[in-house]
Amino acid sequence: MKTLVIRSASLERFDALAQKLGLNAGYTDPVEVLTHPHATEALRANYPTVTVVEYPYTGGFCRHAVKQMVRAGSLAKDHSEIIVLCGNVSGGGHFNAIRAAHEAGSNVFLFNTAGELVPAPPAQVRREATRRLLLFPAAVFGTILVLALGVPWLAACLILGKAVSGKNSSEKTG
Amino acid sequence: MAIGNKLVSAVILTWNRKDDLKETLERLREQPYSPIEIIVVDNASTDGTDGMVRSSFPEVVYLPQKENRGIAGYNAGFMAARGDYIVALDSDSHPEPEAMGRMVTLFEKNPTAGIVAFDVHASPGGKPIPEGAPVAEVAGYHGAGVGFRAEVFQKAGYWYEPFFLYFNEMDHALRALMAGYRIITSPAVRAVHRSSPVARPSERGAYFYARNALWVIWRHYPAREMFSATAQFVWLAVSESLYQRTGVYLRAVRDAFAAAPGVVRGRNPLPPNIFEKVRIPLHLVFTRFE
Repeated sequence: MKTLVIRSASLERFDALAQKLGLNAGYTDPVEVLTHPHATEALRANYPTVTVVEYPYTGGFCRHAVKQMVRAGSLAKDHSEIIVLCGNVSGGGHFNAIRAAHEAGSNVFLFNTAGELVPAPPAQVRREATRRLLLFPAAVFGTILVLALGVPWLAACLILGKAVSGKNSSEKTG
Repeated sequence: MAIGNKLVSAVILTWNRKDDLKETLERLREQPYSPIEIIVVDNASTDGTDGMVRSSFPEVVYLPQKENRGIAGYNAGFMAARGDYIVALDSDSHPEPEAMGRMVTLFEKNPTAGIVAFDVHASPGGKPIPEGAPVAEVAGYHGAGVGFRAEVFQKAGYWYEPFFLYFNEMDHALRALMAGYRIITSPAVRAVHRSSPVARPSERGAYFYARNALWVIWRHYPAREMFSATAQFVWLAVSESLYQRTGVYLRAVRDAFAAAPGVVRGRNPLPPNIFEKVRIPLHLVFTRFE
């Protein structure tokens, strides 16, 4: 069995998964970890038996980037299971990583903070993608509304803050 | 007590985690390094922490607080610490054996390092790492295991108390870098952050995490980057609120903006050479809600 882990949460979450799988305690099946460059050394130092695959992009895991890696041959597509590390129980906020995982195979699981491996089948991901598409206009409208109120307010705070600190410093030096 | 060794103060903040704290204090007793001063700041626990510390660990300096003051409790501990070096720990984290001594050695070998970030793991053991393992320079640290030169707090200030919880480490790390200190880490200096079975309400964590991320951006990002990161943050907050069916991120954004006048008053934008090292993965901010 060949496993791919998408390191989409902290190294501590990877430790928890490693403990569950017994990575440093006799686990012999091949394990690959897809991770951003800043975590490669720590993973190699602490888990010499895993193969670290560097995700050569900044930002969150993106399905287009993973697709590209599979096409280029830097990431295999023959994993029997893919595990997405989560920083919560539900997997909320990790949808990009889940979609990216599906580009490298279809047997995807979330490893949540309750220590459970929860399946994320393709049909569920498709449903969630559709729901997000439907919510997209509302998200755009909401963002514009918040920014229309928030940005001028923030700018005013900066300008007034500078004016007050300038006045205070001239009072002190005057 | 080893003659000539510098005093290390370990500061632990706790709130209703008596059993976790007991384990941490027991682990600290196993540290071969000496002398260590242990300071427990209790943010008004009601689970008998007081009695446990006083009866089982009489050597501990116990600082009970009148209410849960969040990370302000740590500052009380840092101010009370007498050590040349100060180590911050969570009530559910502990340094691995040898970590304190190795941290002191790192400080002594690296005089411009103000902070030693422990390599924090969720489980003990793993591959043994020799003391001479490579030292790396980083731009942040984990509050569950970190050592400071005592002078860092005089020059870079203490943790920013309005945060209450979360992102205080990054904010402080950036101020330390601006004060001219280096932050170093080594896999040989490890701490274990045990998963506490006492789970905190998830919404609270998600709220502080999101609000404080925005505050860090406003306090430290150069102006142009500050506005672009704010726009990106708001997009993520609004869309993830809809996707995750929660209002917590919107409340965090609202409260962040409401407090903006006070937050930007303490603004200290990073120079380009430090800013390029900083990495706040904004999308991860929205993975805290259960």
